[in-house]
Amino acid sequence: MLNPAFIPTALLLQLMLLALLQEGLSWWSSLVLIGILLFKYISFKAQQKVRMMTINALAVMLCLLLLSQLWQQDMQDSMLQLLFFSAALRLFSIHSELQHAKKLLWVQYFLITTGFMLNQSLWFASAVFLLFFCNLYLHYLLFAPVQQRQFRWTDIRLLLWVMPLCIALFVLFPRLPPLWQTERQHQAQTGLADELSLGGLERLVQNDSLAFRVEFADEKPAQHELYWRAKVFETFNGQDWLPDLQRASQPPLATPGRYRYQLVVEPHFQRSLFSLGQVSQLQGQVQTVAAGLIESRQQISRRFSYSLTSNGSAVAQQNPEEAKRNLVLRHTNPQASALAHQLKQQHRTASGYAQALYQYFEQQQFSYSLRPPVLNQQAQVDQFLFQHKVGFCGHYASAAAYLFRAAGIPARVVAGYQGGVWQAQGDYLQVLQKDAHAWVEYLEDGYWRRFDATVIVAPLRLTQGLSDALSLSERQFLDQFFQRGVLGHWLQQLEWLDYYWSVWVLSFDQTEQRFIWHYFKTMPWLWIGGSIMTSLLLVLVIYLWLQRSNQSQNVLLRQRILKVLRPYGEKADYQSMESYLRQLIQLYPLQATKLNELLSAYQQFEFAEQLEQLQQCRKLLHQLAKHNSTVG
Amino acid sequence: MMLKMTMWQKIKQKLWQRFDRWLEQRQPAATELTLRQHLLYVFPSTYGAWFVLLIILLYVFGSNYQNNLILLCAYLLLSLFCCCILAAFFNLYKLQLKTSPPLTMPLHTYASQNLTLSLALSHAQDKKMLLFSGNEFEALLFETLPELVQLELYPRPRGFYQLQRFKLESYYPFGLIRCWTYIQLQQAYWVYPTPSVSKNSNAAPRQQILDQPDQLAPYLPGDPASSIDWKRLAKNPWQPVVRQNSESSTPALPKTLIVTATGAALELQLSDFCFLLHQYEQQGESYCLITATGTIGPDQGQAHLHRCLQALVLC
Repeated sequence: MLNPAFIPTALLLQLMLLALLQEGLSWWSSLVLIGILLFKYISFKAQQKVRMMTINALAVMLCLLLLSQLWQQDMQDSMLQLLFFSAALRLFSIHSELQHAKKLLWVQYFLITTGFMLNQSLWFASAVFLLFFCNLYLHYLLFAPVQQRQFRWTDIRLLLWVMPLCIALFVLFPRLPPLWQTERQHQAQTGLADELSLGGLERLVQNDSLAFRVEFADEKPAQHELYWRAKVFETFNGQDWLPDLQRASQPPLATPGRYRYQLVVEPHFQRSLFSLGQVSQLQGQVQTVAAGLIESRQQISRRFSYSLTSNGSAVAQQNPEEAKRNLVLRHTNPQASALAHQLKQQHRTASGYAQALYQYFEQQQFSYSLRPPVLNQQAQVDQFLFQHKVGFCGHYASAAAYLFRAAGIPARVVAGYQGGVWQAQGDYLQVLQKDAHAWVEYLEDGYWRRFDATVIVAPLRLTQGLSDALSLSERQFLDQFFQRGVLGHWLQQLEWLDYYWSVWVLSFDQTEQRFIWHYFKTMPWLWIGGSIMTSLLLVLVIYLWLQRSNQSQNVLLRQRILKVLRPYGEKADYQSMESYLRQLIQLYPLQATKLNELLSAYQQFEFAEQLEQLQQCRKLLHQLAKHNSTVG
Repeated sequence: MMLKMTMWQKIKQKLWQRFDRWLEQRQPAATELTLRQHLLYVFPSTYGAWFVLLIILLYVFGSNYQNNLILLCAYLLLSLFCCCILAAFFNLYKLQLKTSPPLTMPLHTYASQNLTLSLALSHAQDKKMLLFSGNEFEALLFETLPELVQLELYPRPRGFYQLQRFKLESYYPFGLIRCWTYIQLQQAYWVYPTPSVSKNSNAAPRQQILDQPDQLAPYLPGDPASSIDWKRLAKNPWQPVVRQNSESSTPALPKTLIVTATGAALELQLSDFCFLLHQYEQQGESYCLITATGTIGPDQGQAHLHRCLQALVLC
């Protein structure tokens, strides 16, 4: 017998789950699932039983379909679909059998939990947890009395016990490192591309989504210092800048760091991570690679957190090879090369040359625009520098790097993010995809100095952010990508909650666990243990004392009588108090009067409830005891 | 193969006997029983084992993908599992069972009839989903416990029985943990022979021997006119005769039933006697029963009736 509320609730749950897991389901599987759920609803309304044969046939068909789609899909998504199919078909088969319902719950627990593979943001996670508790409720219904639908207080009390235990386990239970490597294929990458063309980053600039968030421990760098390095492009093929293929990992330099900061990166399905200038210390599953960049050991497929220490200064040169590599140039832009030669002759040092370039960009009336004319000639750099003179960071970085190299100064293009928005509530920096930026690093005295032409062309871009740097029409052009309703604004206000969710819950790992254990170990256990013991003892004493005073006067009196009269003769178990006292009266005629008085006083106190007789009893007992001691 | 099976069965039987003896020591039969720690057994059910597998899977899954939320779910289920152990225990803990036999007569039934056994429960407010099962009665599931539980015992042949050890179990809440106990209550019951009237009853003649024939006496003034033998009066109108009823004239002799049959006939005779005893009791007659072990009565009343019926059972 199933609870009548079971099947409708399960249907509702699966429907919500279907909406929630859309991201991981292909269109045809969603369609099939909706069909199954709808059919189940109809058959439930009509009280019809579905034959097991039909379900099995359906299951085989779906499995075949899934297999045929396997090569097109990510393994993980296929797993998710398989689970969902099994859950839906199981629900389809349930009529009133407990066995099927148990299996359904099992699969649903698993299915709901895999929802966290797709997304871990606070809102999504709350929805998944809601469904999780919904499943828990179904589980409860299955084993509770059939007509009962609500949790009773005792059950809620049970749940209240579960919560602290769960949190303690989460914080303290030992964790395992990953057992096998998992990488998601076929997943659209977001963030910076692996190559930078002259008009690159355009796509990102139109993207309003979150890239990463940073929290600084003590000192915060100035806004114009916030150059988040992510990728370095060292090879130029005339059109695009490509990364160098050598990816030797190397230890970070042990220099004192000025800024300590923690980053929480949104999943972008790449390995590259973000850092400020020269990195001196790392924490988390990250490593340093060539050109002073930071990389994750795994593809970032979920929110990822790590901590760094940087001194904010220029990145040091790593080897002579690096300088040579960054001089290679195919001179396909004759005008630009000529300009470089001319400037180089006037300015011997690299920094002097850089200054000259800044001046050049300033004097030649270059302007910043998100909609520059299309570069269609073979010599793109020439076309940009001498024809259009309009572009954004990609153009400037690319052209400047070309000019450096043409003048014989090693230079490379760096892509990453610039700036970010400080969140007042959270005291953390939020960097969006539209903050994507590209700039140049040139080598001087063993350090890679930064050169950013955008500073000259659009100074507001750095200090105020992108939209302030643009003209009104450009801003309107950009705004069409950032449509936000009132709700959107409101949600943005709540984003700091999501941030702390990421920092405290999602990025909690072995390192922090070790820290907590360490903290526990260093606590003054002797004092804590001692105080707990003494307080327990105190409680025990108070308890006993209360217990004693709670005992009725009658019991105490009886005990006292027995104790005082023991020297006169023991009371046998079968005897009543009266017969015992009468026996003593016969045995000790000398004390007969006192004993008689005692007997009557006792009886009056005990049975007539004359409380004043208690005093009389005590007095007599005292005399009897005294007499006994003088005699004895 | 066959030998092996029997070997296995023997071992099984031995183990069960041992277990029974152990239970006997642990909980001797009592009329009143409170379920306490030493009587309650708690262990995960099959579904609980599957649930643990789920937890392990989720833990491995969460560890591998370094996904804290999946781990959190695994811990949530684990702590639920742990708390269920306590909840399942407390679902039976302190439950008080007490036999409540009828006050006036021994607990009894007739062969091939069900017997309803009542158990009084206390401290049963929050106890749920309790299953009573045993060899002697059909398993009964109580979603919430009533004050009085009535167990329908299966029909059995005549005899004197002790209520056997039965099982009380619960999977509440969540079905992950099973909490159960084996209970032995001190409750005996009698199964009397089925009352029936057989055609060739040999009890009837004995009964009639004891009956006095009617006597005739000459009419004396004052005799009731209704007792005049009118047929004889028609033949001989000068000598009126009255019929004198033996019951009214002499004190009734107690009816005596003697168990004489053996073998298959014994059962028939016992059934007859059972019927007759009831009949006598209803008619308010005095009766006695003679069996191989002794004589009961003559007497009458419910207590005497049951004494006689019990003697029949023990034949």
